[in-house]
Amino acid sequence: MDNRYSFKELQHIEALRLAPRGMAKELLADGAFCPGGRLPVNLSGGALAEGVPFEVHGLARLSYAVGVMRGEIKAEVDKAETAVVHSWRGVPTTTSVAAVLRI
Amino acid sequence: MSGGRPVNPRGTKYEKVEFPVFEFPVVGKARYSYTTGEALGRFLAGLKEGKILGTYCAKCGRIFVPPRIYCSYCFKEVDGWLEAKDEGVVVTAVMSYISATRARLEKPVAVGVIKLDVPGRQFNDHFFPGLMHYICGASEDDVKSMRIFGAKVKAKWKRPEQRTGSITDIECFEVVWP
Amino acid sequence: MTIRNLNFKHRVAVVGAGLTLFRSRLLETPQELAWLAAKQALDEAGLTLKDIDCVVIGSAPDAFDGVHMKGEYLAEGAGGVHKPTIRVFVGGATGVFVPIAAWWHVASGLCKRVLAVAEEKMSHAAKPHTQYVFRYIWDPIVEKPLNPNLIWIFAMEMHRYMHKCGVKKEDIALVSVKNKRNACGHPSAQLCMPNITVDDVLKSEVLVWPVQLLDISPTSDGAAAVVLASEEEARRITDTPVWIKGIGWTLDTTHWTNRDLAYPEYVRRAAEMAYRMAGIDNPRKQIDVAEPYDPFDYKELHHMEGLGLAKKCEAPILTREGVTQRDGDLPINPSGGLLGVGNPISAAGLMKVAEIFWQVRGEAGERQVKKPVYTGLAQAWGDLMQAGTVIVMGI
Repeated sequence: MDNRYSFKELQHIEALRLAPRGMAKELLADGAFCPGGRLPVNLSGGALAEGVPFEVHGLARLSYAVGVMRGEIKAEVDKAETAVVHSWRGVPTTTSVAAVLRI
Repeated sequence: MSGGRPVNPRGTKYEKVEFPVFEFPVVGKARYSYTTGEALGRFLAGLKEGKILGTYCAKCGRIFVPPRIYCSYCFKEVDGWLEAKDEGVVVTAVMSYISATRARLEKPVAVGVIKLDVPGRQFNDHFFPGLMHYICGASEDDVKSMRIFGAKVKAKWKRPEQRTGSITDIECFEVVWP
Repeated sequence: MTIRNLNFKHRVAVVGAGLTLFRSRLLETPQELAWLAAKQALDEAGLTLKDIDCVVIGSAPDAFDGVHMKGEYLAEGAGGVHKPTIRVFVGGATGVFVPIAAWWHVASGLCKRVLAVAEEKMSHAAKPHTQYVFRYIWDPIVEKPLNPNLIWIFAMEMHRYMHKCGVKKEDIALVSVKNKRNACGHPSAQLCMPNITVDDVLKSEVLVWPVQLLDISPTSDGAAAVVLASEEEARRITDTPVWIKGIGWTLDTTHWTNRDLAYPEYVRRAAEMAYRMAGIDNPRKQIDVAEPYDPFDYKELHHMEGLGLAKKCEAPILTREGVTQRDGDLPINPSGGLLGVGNPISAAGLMKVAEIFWQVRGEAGERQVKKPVYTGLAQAWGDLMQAGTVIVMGI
């Protein structure tokens, strides 16, 4: 998901209901979102690592997820059968798009 | 206007009223720094040397001026560079009486599209190497009478020391009247 | 290039339309304009915002309104808050692209009732002149340094068309006269000129020969909206849904100095796409009324030919013979077009779609064309003379 600002990743995790509200920071500290964790988030590093050519980045994350699910991209993840990809825009956040990918 | 749609369209027309109530001026000065990319970069360097360069696609035979590094029709890389002549014919021309900011010009200018000559090649109307530029040596009547269509033109270059690597290194395309 | 064996879930109909006034300067903010048009469209359809599933917004260059991310900005005025909303943009062609995108939403089954809104405020880009904003449309490297005025490009296209087809300015001026007179029947019209003559056009200020002041549509503020619904819903909402029979869109290259300007190839392809979907193979006979995009008078002729409504170079003849008048055999721009009603870039195209909608339903009042209307067409054109969008509607 979009993590152009680091706090956004936590905010989005909770908004996407991948963690109960207010609990994201604990799960993060626990390593749940890390490679090999229960729910790896942004294995590519997301925007923080890859950089942000605005409209391009959402599609880049989608292709990355597809690559991981197909096994074309090596990533530390137990199962790769369902993925959610997300992006946002607006000041501070006005619109969002989410896609669920399934094998 | 019985039964005609739209019924009572809304909106409030107003004449110019002084700021601050109805208009809020925001003035900004954004300057852009555009990259030329490979193709136009070389094109501009060519202009500095007094040459008009282009690229070509061997598959469909198209010649691109201004040049690109891909053929957008075959969707593959172009196969090479070539030099177009700095002369050609006028495909269309107009006479402008206003500036870019819509102010009246003291002296009207002619501008048009020039189809460039490439030795050994013929081009039809559908695709050709061409540039927009000023046209000099043409009067208002030449343009209005359409005499200018199909006229031969040759680039009038700035002196080498004045060229900066820009489309303006060519001052204009001068009409070569028979 | 073309769509064959098109397979989609739901037929789509237009069930309501709304327009604001089109004027050179309107007091309302962009959101307020969008709201006025959207509310009128919903009222006409007998719906409230709660009934709408999805929203499509169209607005042309942000540079005019002067607000970046216009889709998001307009969303609250266009009913897009807390709904699936997107903004589409193809320059001037946006106005007809908005219902095309809305069609996707309904035809796919994803949304049952869609509100489509287009809005533009050109008056915001006031200094030094609205035209100056267009300088960003040029290629920054090989065109901008020449300090062009956008009218150059239309003048060049017009002159090339005149040269290739042997058309005189008098013939082209007839279009401006027709449309600015037709506009008198349109409640939103900015430029109703009931007594305008060819002479007036030919005596108006010469901007870039051959383009003169009265050859051009005015810059305007305005908004338009339509409501689309799936077949099941449409029949519940109204007795006379107007079905969308065909859609098409095509883009040509920005390297306009490399192609022939006398014929709009991109319009031909967009029209072919729409005609194939609508099952039309003889547009001149099968289209009853058309609203081609007319920001300049010569464009109406140019586009008529691209749409196949006239053979190449034949459009001026049809105009001269009165065929394109409201009481003619092929009425063109009975609304008054952009030349008469106004040109808020994206809203203008949607205004044309609304016109076809009302013509098919017989609700165009004074503007209603004489012949019975079963199938109509609206077309828009945009960007750097390269985008064509076409929609065919009817019963």
